[in-house]
Amino acid sequence: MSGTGLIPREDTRAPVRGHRPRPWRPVLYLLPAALLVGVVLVLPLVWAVVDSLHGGLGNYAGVLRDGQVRHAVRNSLFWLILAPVICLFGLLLAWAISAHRRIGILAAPIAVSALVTGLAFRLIAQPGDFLLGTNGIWLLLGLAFAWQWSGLAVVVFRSGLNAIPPGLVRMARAFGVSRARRLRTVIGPALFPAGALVLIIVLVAAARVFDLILIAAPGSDQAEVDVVGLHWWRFRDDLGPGESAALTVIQFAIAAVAALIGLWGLSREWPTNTADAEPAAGPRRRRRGRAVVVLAVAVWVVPLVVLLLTSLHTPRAAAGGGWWSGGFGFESYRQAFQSGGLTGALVNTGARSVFAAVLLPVVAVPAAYALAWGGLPRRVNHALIAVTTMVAVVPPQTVIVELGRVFDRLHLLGAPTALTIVHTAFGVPLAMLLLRGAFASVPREIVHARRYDAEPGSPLFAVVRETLPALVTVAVLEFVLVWNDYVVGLLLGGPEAGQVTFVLSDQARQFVTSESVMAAGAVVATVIPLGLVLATGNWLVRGFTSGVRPAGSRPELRQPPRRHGQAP
Amino acid sequence: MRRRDALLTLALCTLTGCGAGRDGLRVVGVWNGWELARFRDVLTAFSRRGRWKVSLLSAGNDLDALLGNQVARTAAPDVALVPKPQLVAAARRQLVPSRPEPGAPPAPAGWTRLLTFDGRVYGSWFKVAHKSLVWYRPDMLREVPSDWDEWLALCGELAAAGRPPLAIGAADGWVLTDWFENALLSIDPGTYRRLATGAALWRHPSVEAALRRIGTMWSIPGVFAGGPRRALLTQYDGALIDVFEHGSAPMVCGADFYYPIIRQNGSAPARWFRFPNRQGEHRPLLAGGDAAVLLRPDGEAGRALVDWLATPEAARPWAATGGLLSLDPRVKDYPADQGLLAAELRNETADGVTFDLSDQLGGRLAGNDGRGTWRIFQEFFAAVAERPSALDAAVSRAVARLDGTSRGTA
Repeated sequence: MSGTGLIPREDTRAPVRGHRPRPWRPVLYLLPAALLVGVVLVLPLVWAVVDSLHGGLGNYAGVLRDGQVRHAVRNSLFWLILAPVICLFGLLLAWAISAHRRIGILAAPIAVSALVTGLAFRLIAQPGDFLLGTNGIWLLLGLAFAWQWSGLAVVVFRSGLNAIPPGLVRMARAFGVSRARRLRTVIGPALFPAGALVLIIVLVAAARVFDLILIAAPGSDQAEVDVVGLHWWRFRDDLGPGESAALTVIQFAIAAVAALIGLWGLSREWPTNTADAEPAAGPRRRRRGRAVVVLAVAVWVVPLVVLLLTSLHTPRAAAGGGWWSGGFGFESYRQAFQSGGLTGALVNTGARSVFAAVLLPVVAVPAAYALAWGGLPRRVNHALIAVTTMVAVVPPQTVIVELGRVFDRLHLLGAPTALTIVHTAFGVPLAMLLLRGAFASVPREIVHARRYDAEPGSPLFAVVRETLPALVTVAVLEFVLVWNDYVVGLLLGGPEAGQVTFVLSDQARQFVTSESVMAAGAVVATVIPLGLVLATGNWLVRGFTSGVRPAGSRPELRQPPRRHGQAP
Repeated sequence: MRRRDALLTLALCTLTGCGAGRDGLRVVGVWNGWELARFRDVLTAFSRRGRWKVSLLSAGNDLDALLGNQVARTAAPDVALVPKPQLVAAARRQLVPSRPEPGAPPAPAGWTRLLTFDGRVYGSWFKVAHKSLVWYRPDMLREVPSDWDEWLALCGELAAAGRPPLAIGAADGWVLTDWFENALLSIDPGTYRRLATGAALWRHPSVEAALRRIGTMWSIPGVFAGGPRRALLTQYDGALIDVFEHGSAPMVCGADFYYPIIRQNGSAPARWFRFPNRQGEHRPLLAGGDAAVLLRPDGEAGRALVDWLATPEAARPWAATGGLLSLDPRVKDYPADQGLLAAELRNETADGVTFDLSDQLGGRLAGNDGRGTWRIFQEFFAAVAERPSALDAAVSRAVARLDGTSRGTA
């Protein structure tokens, strides 16, 4: 820890040169994001609430009188509880891994779609069938979800732990600081900010879980593992408009509970842990850490290996046996591409993902800058962050009915641009939160130098230059989310959206005889986002944890920091 | 409502730079995999005839939303292949009625009646299915039962000898409803027809009798290969592989469209017998099918496609590979004994088709994974197969669930 962010230095000079403060500038910066999110998420959300309250609370009472709905609500809450459990598991694993650094691969499953994850785990469970029964299915779904998200938690927490100066812990111990207090005052703060963000991301994923259940659970288990979002999708035509809206608002409320938990974490100030000095661990801990890493990686690759092996079987061999038996060949890949549907879907999905990944930073960066450095009143800032967090968890189901109605009128359903813009809107809140954290951890001098001193250039661009990892993270995550989307495309575009995940899920109705063709499609559909995430892995870890470029690569800071920024 | 729509419309217009054209003819079906590939061939043949640009999409299990959805009408395709008359009924305001085609032999009256609502005919049948079959392995089963009681005794004997007689894909709810429909058709075709028109007759004694009949078979200990729990996790294609590849049971109930799956994935010989009824009862013939419907009145291509799909030229290539039966007697080149099934469908449905009941039920009974009749019958299956002694209780609970769900109170 070089301590660049901790220099006690106040700029007491009057801002005589440079720009005058412009109070309208942060508002202008916030405008594009506000407009996009407002139109696509907030307005439809408000209308869903209004619709659901048509005739008082009767719609809610009516919906909740249905035992199946109550069952689905209970299941949705269960998923929410699972999210912090998975983060905790990630923390423990990060602890056990000790100071090992090559663990980025554990976070790779975030690049795999929920649909492909469900497919892989169903393939794993198939030979025994024991995991697919009424109780086993919960274990299967939980494991699949943990596989997808706990790796991210491990990587982020490990990075946070690495950032703790080893001397500090040793010193605290030497001064007789109790274990609990060490945890609270030294270790906790180092984990908090990035941990809160990871928790929000996992909570959002848990609140939106949909396609994972749809593909992993056999038809006879679907009722048992129903969640609110799925229930609404199954029964939306049977419910009246008010009841349908009420159900989606309930789903939003459940997600909002998640958001509040995360908000509590985000409301703290973000310390700047710019460098992760690897703490020196004892040789025994090192060995143990390495063993844990090897074991974890070995377990983590199992689903992907099963998927790959299944896809390398001929359809007939896979149907009669499975990934463990003989009968290899490339026939499944040929069949996957034969119909032409997959190729078209790959092109469609790719175009949408790239466009959304480019558009999102354009909208989110100014807004995040306004939140971090806009100089807005503290209370306004906090309120904006709260609103952003709440909007980040709006489930697609809640806003889709209203959006669909309007899209229908505009003949935009299935239009590629329209769907991309909706995707971007869904990505904006989370991107703002992530970028704001990164922007806020940029050393103050860099901004002030542009704002008050003679240094040329806009402070916004200076901050962006410092936080490239966070920007890359946002773009990569958006690409991955749009690429792997199922539910938004399903509800708003229908089959015309041509999403890769549709092509895969359609075949699940003859699961056994199409499993290898499905797996081949899944491998092709996974290679692209997975490759992207692995290629940018180092940037992603940094983007999540601090978002700031390593101190060594920052030209101004190559000199000892104390000399930098001194009055000329 | 109108003001808010206008507001959102305006906002979205500015955001997206309105308007999106469409080109070509969009066709939606519910098939996937091999069947989708076959239908793609059919469409390729069509587009060659008229130089039309046709794109085919699979709607998966969500065809209901695509057709009946008031919200997303523009998402609707030009032509859809619909497996449920109930969907045609629900979406008929969005559909374009057919014109009688001069020159072509009319489709059997019973079949046309299924697509007739408010005096108009919507669409035509492209593919029909025979769903009263039991596929079996002649190398594992020497004698074929001639009626229900013989079949029940045979299954009981085999199960008692430790050789499970049946495989069943109970993870697919429609497999179970087909069993029930065949039994009810044998016992009381009249009640079946009235239920299909939406009458709330679920407390009729015949319904109970049909449930009891299939329940008796399902509750024989050891009747299903791998046990009932595994059956509930097996989809219909998995059950076919169990029988014709692994030989874990000699029989599986099903339909004519099982044929290509058996041929592609099984190595054993396959034959069929009709779903058995009791002596003196009506022999059931449960029918299914996919009707082509037109959703957009403008453009000749859509109408041309719907008309062409009813012709023998459209059906022949797929019929030759198996898995498609046509109502047209001019289609003859079926594989093996599939032609016999097409003839049975044509002849025995002359005075009325008994179309799949669960495909004609709307509202909360409409079946899909985790809902409607599919779910009720899966629960019934689990109840009787896992606790054979509780047959009576399971039957009355299933009746109550069917009745309650049809009234929207369960």
